Amino acid sequence: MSRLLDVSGLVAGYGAVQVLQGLDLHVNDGEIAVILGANGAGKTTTMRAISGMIQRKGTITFDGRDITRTSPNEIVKMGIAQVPQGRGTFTDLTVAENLRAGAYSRKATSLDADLGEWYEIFPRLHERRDQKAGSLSGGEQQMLAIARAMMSKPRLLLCDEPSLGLAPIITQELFAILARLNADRGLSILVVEQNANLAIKIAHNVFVLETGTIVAAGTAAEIADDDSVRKAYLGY
Amino acid sequence: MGHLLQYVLNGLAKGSIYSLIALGLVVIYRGTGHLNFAQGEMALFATFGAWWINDHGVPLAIAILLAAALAFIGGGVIEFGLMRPAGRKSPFAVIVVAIGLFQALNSLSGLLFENAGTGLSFGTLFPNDPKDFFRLPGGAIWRYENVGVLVSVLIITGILFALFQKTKIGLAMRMVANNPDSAKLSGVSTNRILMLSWGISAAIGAIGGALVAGINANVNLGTMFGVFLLASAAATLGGLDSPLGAVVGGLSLGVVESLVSNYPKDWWGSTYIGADTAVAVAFVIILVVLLVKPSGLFGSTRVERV
Repeated sequence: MSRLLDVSGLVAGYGAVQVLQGLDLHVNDGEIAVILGANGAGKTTTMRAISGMIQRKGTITFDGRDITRTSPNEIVKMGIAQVPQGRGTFTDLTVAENLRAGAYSRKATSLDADLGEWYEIFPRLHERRDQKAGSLSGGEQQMLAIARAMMSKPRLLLCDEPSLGLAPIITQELFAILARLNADRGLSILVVEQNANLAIKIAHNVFVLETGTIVAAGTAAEIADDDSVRKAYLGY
Repeated sequence: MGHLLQYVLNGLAKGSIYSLIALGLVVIYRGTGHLNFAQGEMALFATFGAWWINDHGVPLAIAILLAAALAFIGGGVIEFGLMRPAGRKSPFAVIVVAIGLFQALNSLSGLLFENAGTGLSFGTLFPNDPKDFFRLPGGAIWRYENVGVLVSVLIITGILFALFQKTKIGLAMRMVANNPDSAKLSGVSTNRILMLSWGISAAIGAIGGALVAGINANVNLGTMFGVFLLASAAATLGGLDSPLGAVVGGLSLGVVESLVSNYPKDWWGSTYIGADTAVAVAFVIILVVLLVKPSGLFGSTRVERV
């Protein structure tokens, strides 16, 4: 199985504070990888480092190319899209404009077909296409955030705590959609989550992050069988 | 009633220029969250530039457009060379640099253009012979020049709105204004958008400055100060991040200014209450509006559901 994203020795942080201390992880082509970790473990920092939003050291390779020094807008063009924590929708823009914004990096002349495709997957977004994104519910905004990221036609989707602040039933729906995107389109996904039970069910590989380093890694089944991980993150 | 219409018409011309400069402020504010204190003097410098080009035999309209084009480049250079490095230090550094730029551009104008202090005579784009006016019912007259200024501003505003709403680059500008992080994650080069915003703002300012100079038939070192004061008030009144707010704010302040400087004279024959009082009244109105609605008339209150 080839590695689409390969991160090794990643060191990153904010100013003088180093959050990540030499982190290694990878996402196989066509698979879902999950990073589990508590608050402050460095999950969001990892995501921001991969998409080029913060200074980082180490090596990040995407599809065989070194992107450690690449700017965020170039990284998007290469095929990595991020759904940031807290949705990151453009609240003052309409739903349709948000989707068009997601396709900014593409040179497409018409986006109508792509819009139609996502409206079909998320009918609620179609109903509310002319409404400002800020007026949507949390769940709808998360759907919009995912659809927006997908409008850039990525090969790798980064999802930063998609379950944050959502009702359990919405979270389940969301993870089902991520699993479907992976199964139907071969989309590779890297999800960061605190909600380990749900995340582990759709994952192929799992990485456990504690204070800036990976302390356990393996297939979803291996991690689910690991006693210490199970106690700490799955709660049984 | 004749008077009222007359004063409103006079106020609209001045007010439309406030709108234009306020729009320039809003374009930068939306991208960076900073009020550009140098906006007025950037416009002044460009207006002197237009005068200089015109003085070398280029027709005024073309000279103004050339000055606006140069201002567009200059605005981009100011963002890249001054504001961006300052912004990396702290938001206060940006404010200090902008105030410094205000002073520097004013002094530079005085240095480069002889007699800039007392003023250089500036032509107008519109017919301004004493008999060039429309006669409206009720006895009010609408001077061609005032009509011309208002229409020019409306056209520029229309172009700007079309840019924001209908083009990809406008979408990118609105993305950066609303959520810079997500804009970056969607592939927008925010630095380039900020440079563009400064360029657009400076170009709008250049045209605004030339229109003021045209009305005054003169450009001097003090031309833009009062205009900038009222334009920044107009932008604040409108909500600082709303282009529509800037337009409405500018027009209404122009009208208020005109009413307050004329009515006391009509009623009491007083000349004590004049144009300066108008500025004070304008600010009192702003104070009241902001007390009731702190985000301004059209400003967005950032409330997000999670």
